Amino acid sequence: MFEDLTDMQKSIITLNGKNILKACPGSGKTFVVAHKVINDYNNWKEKNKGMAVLSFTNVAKEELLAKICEISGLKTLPYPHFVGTLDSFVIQNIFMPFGQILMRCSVRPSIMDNDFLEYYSKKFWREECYRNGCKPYDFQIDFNRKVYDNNRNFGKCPITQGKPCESFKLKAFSKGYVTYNEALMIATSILECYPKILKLVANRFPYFVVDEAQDTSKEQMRLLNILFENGVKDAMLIGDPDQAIYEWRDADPSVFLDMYSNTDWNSYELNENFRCSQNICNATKIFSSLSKPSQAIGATKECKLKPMIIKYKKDEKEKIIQFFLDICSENGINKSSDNIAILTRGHKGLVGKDYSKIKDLWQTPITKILALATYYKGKENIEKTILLVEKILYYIIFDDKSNAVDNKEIQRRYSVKEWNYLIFRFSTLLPEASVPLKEWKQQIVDMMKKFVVDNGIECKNEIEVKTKVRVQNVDLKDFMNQPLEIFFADSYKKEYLNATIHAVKGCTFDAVMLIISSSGKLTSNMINQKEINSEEIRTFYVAATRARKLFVLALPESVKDKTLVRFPKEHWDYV
Amino acid sequence: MYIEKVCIKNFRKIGANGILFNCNKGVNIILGENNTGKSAIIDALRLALSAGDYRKSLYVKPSDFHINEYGEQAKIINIDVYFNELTSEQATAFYMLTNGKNLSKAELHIEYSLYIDKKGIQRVREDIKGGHALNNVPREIYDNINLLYLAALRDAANDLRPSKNSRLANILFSVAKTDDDKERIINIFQKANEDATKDNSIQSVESIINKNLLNIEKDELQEKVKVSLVSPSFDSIASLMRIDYINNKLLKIPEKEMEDLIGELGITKVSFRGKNICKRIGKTKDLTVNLEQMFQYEEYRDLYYRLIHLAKNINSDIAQNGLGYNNILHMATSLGDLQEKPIDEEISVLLVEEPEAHLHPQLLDLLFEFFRKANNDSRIQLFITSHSPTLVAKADIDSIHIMNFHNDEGSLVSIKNTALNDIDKLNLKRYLDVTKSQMFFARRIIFVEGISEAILLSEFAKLLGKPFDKYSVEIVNISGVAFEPFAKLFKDEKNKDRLKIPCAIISDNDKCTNNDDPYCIKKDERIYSKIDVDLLANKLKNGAISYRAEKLLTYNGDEIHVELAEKTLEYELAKITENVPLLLEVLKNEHPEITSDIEKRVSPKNRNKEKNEFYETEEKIALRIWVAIHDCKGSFAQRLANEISEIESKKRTDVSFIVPEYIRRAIDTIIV
Repeated sequence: MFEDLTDMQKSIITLNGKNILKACPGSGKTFVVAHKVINDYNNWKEKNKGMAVLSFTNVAKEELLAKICEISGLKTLPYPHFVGTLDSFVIQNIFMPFGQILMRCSVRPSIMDNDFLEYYSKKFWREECYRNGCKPYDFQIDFNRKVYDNNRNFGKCPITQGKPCESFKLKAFSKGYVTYNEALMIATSILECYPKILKLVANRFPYFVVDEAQDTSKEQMRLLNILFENGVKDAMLIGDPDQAIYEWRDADPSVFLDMYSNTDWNSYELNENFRCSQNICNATKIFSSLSKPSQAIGATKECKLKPMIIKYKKDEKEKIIQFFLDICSENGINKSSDNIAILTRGHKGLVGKDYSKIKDLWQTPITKILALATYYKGKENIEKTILLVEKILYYIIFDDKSNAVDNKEIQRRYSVKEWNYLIFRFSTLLPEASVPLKEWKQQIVDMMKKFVVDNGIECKNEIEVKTKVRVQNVDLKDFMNQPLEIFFADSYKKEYLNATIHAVKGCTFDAVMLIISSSGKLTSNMINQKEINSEEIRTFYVAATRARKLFVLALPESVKDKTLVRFPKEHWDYV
Repeated sequence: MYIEKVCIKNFRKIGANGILFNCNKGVNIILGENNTGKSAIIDALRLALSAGDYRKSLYVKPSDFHINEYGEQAKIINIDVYFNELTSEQATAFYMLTNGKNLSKAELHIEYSLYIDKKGIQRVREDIKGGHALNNVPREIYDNINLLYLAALRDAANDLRPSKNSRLANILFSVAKTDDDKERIINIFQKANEDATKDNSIQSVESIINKNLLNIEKDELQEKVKVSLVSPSFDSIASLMRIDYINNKLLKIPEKEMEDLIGELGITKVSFRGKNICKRIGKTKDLTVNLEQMFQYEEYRDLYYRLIHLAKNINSDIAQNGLGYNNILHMATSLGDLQEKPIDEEISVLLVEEPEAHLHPQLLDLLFEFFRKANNDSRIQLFITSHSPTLVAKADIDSIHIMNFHNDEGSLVSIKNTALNDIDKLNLKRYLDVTKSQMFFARRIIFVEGISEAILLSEFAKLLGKPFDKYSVEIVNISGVAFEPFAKLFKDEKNKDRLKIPCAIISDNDKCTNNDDPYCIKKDERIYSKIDVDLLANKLKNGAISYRAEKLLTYNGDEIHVELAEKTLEYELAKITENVPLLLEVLKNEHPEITSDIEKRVSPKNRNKEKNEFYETEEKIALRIWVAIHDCKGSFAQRLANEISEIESKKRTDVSFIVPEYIRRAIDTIIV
């Protein structure tokens, strides 16, 4: 089973103890992790103790699990093992079983999503709160029911007694409603304050595999470290701190780097690049924390094309795109959205118009959920669609007051089979995601009316499908005629893929062009001047290492060659 | 880890108020008359402990939902099982069941709800949650629960037959744990298989089939078959395991063969001498070997097994054995299966319904000892239901739980939770024999101190129109006055369990028996020939009731009704003037002279008032009768009972009999 692995990868598979693995782009990280997990699974002797295989996002978890299943032929990684996101691990195995008694709340705790947080806080928020700019998610409550204010708005707060934010957090807490971050904090406190529970968790999961470890936050790593230091014997952390581009989601790659240099951990560099040519590896080394350039070992390792730098005039983006496509043709790269990518930092730079920035487009929460369900169905993301449809049905038939979907409540009226049938029916009836917004609104209203009648449903809540009908921005005026999917899209497929950098993380293309704007979140100056250990550099690094053969960096005309200190002519062709 | 308590609600006979069952770590014996819900408890445990299994032997049906006295059916059944003393390994195994704070405790909550589906059919939904936080429970944790259930009506012979899931196969699986073990066993069979298939006859079977196959298929299909004995997989080998009784005690063997055998094993003929093992049969060349005798000697063990093999074909198949023995064998095998399970992370529970089925009392004794020992050795928690007073008499008092059905509400009383202290329990244990332990199966109980009461009470009851058999009253003769340990079972004390059964104690107040009582009646004052009626009358008038009777009276209350006879039962009987003719008639059989002496002193009904001085008062007559019966209470009671029976059935109308007031009160309280 392991014959496909390189010697370096094989040596990783058989490691024991606590290991941390820095994996360069294209190193087949998921592939190696999957092999490692399967190897350990096959040698597993324990009946009730298992591996915890964790990822940062659901997508990454699905990808890893799919890889594991593909290689091993398993359907899933069964009990006693756990595969999932770090979030779900903490909630399922620590917060839920042990949280309630320690929180001393009357009911089983549940996690609030943003919609519910917003909705629930409105019962408490006063005029002063809005004026002061206080947002419900700026506040946190801890284990001892002390309320913290992340944005330091307390100082400006004119209300001296009975602050709405405090009563809101306290009330929510007593009902068991917490945000994910609070759940994480509580879980950490549980492990810190109750050594027996800590021992039990470490006993139940004596082995951790953490994929995409660079994306863990300080708080998440703290919880993991408590486990690592108290009984967890084997652990494998794998990630690439140079590709950590989720700082806005609290990801903190320095946590990974700290552990990488920690002597308690055996550190390894997985520095074989299956994706990029050696030329690209060499040119991008400077943007990474790697000790030496990655070694290209993929099929395109000997590709002679050097990475290029081209300049473009403002308003002539079309021209450089054509230029780029021509180079691709010259080099035998077929035009398709699988082979060629044109990347930008933000939505704005995308060739299409950015309709996603219309503020308050969806005027009721249910409208947004319906639109999202339609969008995900269009993307064939069944899991997300079903989750959203369940939420919609629950809202229609039962109540929108409670936080989570209450299965008991549902089962009082429907059997599992009947309920699943309703979800399935509803999902199939959803309009196409390519339908223009205007028509979508009509279709969704008609469809729901029919659905309610056909299935004999008594509505508890009236469904209000409302969106904005006018916007001020002249560019976006035609939004009502745009397909629904466009309001959520982060990529467009043409004869090439036009996408944001974040949307192509983990993807591979033959040729990639990155268009840098003269202003914004990623400029030429930033790329050349920011510290290597900064989010901007990492974002650039991710873009540059997507390419197998050709990487083109398109800069505004105004950028002077001499400022491009990180782009030596030795590695880059200036066109 | 063990089951600490079980709460059951709305399950069959058990109503909305539910039953709380505080279990013992070791043996639990659940007693009760029929239809009180004993099996419901066992079935609730079976349901809860196998809820997550893929193959269940028991399902909840709509008819299992409790129907109350108004005929309303409950919609939800709850079974909550609480575990205690989890080791850290067990806490890991039962992770999602741990109670959240105290990790040595775990909770399992099963809820069945009844609903009607769209087609109008009643269906049952099962919901399994773990721990205080009601976590979802992964089905795999059920692999850590070893539940073994022996039903009341067992088909022991069938369960022990070779099959894939036979108990024997299961034991083999638990014993041969490692791959090496399995490999070794498989090898033996493989070798045997190879040898067998080399045999000409078997090979010809194979060739015959293959030849015919070829004829049919021609060249179309090129299939070939191979004939062998067993498929060499561990599963199929395990399924071949069989069990036989070695029931021959003697073996006939040619002398020559025996000599060869012992020579091979290095045993000398001389060593048999004086051990009664080997004997020549008459003048033949055969020996008879006493196998049983041989088994006593360690040094002949090898020889013994060799000989047993020779005798193999006369072992008897289990089907030839009686039901009782097969049942024992079944239980021994089943326990063996459980005992081999690892105890560090798993929990083993054995449920036995009515182990007494098909067993005679002595065998039951042995069986119970066996259960107890098995439990001590391997920490298997046992739940036994029983109707058998023999079993109860044998069991530890603390292991007994009594299913009580009172006012349509079932409850389970654990003797360990009653007001009895350790000494009381010891005493109770000493008094409990087969007849007394019957009280645990009764609906009403009357405790009496002696044989006379025991004999007479049921006749009295008939006379009062309240026959005991009709009202399921058990008379418990404790042959003495040690009522206390019994009384405490019924006494209402705070935070203590008690038996909620109508109960009365009938005893004597034993006036004038305290040694420090100046009016104490001496032994020789109770001899009829020396009787001084005036003295006795005076003493009885002034004497005190006995200390122990006084103490007994303190138990008198709503739960226990204590009734004391003035002095004794016989005195009370004789105090009733109407009873005197019958009593004297009966007494005549025992003491003809004394009887005629007393008869002379009884004033005739239409007596002449002037002749007053010769006739004695009713009180004195009663005293005389009491003294006269003193040495023949048992036979007197027996005869009297016969006569009362005649009166009750109207065969005799010439005499009358009136039941003493205190007894009437006692009977009236327990049979309202």
